[in-house]
Amino acid sequence: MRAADELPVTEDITRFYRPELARVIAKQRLSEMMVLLRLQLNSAETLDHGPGQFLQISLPGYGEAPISFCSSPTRTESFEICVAAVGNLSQAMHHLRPGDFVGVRGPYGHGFPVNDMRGRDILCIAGGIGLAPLRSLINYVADRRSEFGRMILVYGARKPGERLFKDDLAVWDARDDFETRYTVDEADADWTGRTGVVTIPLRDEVEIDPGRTTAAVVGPPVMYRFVAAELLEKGMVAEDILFSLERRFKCGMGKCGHCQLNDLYVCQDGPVFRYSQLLGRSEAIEVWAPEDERK
Amino acid sequence: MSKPLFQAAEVLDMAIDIERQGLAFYTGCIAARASEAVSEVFEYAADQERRHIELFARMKQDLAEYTVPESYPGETLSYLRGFTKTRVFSTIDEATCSAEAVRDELEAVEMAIELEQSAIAFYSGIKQIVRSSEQDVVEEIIAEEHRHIRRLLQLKDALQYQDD
Ligand SMILES: Cc1cc2nc3c(=O)[nH]c(=O)nc-3n(C[C@H](O)[C@H](O)[C@H](O)COP(=O)(O)OP(=O)(O)OC[C@H]3O[C@@H](n4cnc5c(N)ncnc54)[C@H](O)[C@@H]3O)c2cc1C
Ligand code: FES
Repeated sequence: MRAADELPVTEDITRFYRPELARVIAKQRLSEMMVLLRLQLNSAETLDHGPGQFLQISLPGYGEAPISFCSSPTRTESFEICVAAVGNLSQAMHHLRPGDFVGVRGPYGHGFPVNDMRGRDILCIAGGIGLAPLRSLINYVADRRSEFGRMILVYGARKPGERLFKDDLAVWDARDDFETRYTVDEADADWTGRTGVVTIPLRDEVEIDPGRTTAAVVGPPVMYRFVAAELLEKGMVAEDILFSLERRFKCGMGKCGHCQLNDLYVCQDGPVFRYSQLLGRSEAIEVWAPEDERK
Repeated sequence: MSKPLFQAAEVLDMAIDIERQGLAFYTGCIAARASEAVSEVFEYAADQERRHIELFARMKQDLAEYTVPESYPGETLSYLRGFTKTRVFSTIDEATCSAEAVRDELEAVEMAIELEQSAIAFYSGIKQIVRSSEQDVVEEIIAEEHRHIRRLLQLKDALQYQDD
């Protein structure tokens, strides 16, 4: 996987500054708040992204925002993004229809270090819409199954109606070579599965070999410190715990400083970081309290 | 629409509640004419719970400004609750009533052990949300609760031995 700053100098780098047109080829509503868009570059080229990387998506008149890939790079005919309707741009994106166009820049950032993860057991822990970027990694592992050890997925949604990618969840659950633990924070009358936050099945139902395991964690900020505590309790080291962080981005490529976290740019050095990189950085509020004495 | 915010101070209120319930249980048992051996351990534990209440109250003052964005109200509390499998008592009254209702001293000691274990689990969660400077204080409280458990276990052994 390549980050923007690692491109060979011969490659046309203008694509990192100039949005390209991508066409919506399919749209699916995943929950009240979320839609899945399948896109194809107008040029019919592939983006060659890595799991955990993101794109800057734009709509003229509405703005631009970072959105993660939620499809695996092993599935090259198109790429998918999953968008929560939270503001100006994302709400407009919910009104897109097949045939409409968006602007895309990227792929950007350091995603999951899949080369380092090869041969290891993969423990994915997703909370809420954090399943979207992890789906890219999970399907990457699914498509190259023999290259990885155990594949464990712990996924928690707030409510059953907010569960994303229900078809994928069922497929992963049915696979003999995937170990899945799904939970919801608040059950409804129809829910027969687990109840409680993700750390509960993680603590009670997941046994790992800490030396062989890499954990990939994406979810709401409050989840991180609790998941980190559980994983350390299970004997993992901070180096093997990967967190994907979210900040306000502007340029998305290490130029404007909007996304700065102490001496790091989340857009360029991340969004995926090793827990060991975040320890001791006072602005990593997901894992530390702010106004900490650490600098 | 403003985002829900987790107020760290609320969690420390829960910690203070846990300590108050512990205190009510220990003093309730002593008042219900516990033997000298049990009273001695329960008085020691009650004194420490009083000190923990002060420590958590001080931490709460320091954390008054500390908020973390949540994706829904109560999210952080759900994670914290996830740390404790069970809460022994939910109110101070329940703790006092239980102290009065225990069948014998052995049951009182067993309940006290459970109380201390659930407090330790909850405080391990709290350690994740306080500043690093406060983490040492929480660690110290956890270590003290562990010491209570050790003394309670010795007491339990002694009571069981007596019964045999
Ligand atoms: C690496 C990365 C990957 C992401 N991946 C996805 C993804 O896959 N899917 C997805 O739906 N989202 C994703 N996001 C989040 C998405 O980029 C933001 O939600 C984006 O702001 C949406 O743009 P908008 O114009 O629709 O909303 P905005 O108008 O930007 O508003 C979005 C929310 O942010 C608040 N807000 C606006 N401005 C500020 C500000 N200056 N400071 C603080 N809060 C503010 C608003 O009140 C609102 O709640 C990702 C973000 C990052 C950094
Ligand atoms: S968003 Fe501009 S430097 Fe990261």
